[in-house]
Amino acid sequence: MTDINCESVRVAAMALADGEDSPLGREEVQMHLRNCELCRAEIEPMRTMNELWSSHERLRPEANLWPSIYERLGESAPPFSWRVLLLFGAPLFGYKVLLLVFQAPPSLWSKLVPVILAIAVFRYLKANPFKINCELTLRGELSS
Amino acid sequence: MDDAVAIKRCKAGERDAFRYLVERYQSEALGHARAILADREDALDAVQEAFLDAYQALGRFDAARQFYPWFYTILRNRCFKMLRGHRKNVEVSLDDALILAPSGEVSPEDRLALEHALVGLSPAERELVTLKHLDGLSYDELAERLELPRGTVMSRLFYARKRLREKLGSSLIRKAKDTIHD
Repeated sequence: MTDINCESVRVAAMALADGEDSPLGREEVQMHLRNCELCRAEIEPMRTMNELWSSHERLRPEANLWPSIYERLGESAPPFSWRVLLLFGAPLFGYKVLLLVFQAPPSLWSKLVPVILAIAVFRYLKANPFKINCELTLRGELSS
Repeated sequence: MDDAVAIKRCKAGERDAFRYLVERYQSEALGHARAILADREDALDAVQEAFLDAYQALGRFDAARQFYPWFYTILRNRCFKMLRGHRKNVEVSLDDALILAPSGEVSPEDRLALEHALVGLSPAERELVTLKHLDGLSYDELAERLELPRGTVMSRLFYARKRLREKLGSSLIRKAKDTIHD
């Protein structure tokens, strides 16, 4: 249920005058306007003002900005595309990772596997259990 | 050449292709910058800087989008950044229009009165009102262009018009009403 007050009716009335949908229905707005002199006094000049605009156009000033822009384009780098970086960077990065994986000594795996498992557990719990323990310790709740 | 071809060539490092975009949109951009800044010189600076920013950012431009709405975001960021830097007292003269184009239908005095009223609004209000009434953007288009929810556009537009009506004064509105009814 929408709250009807003068302000919301006025906003809705102007939206309807613009041919737009409004949170209040046309009939609801018209009924309110029929009974509320203050709203009519507010809306009527605004509707007239809307019609005033029809005889105006935006000024589009003539200009020739290209020479000064061209001069300054020389100082700036060409447009940088992240796609180009990704196109060359991603395969190189993947290749480097694969090389590391296959050349890694068993000792590295013994360190990496627990880290990967820990990350997986954190992701699963959606929280850092060590951090929670630290907070509990600081508050003295864990020891008790 | 069209926008998509020009952008593709710019991305390939052809600086001259950017000329097409500058020449196509500079007048429109100047009109929009003037509406926000209400200052001729600042608008010129803002548009130049915005084109340079756009050139730098073309690599991130999504080819599925249209160029000008994307560029407009860069331009308005430039304008509002510039506004944070300094404030000026704007003088609008009869023969040198700032936001509204001189037209045979409207007397210079009436155009000037509306320009004065517009200059009395805040830059954000002026931007919203002119995009609505001079460019004819719908609420959905305004919401997309200004990156605001549609409901916010609706209420901000109402309050901007309310302020404009106060600035215009009742005499001009009455005059407009008489003209419309004649």
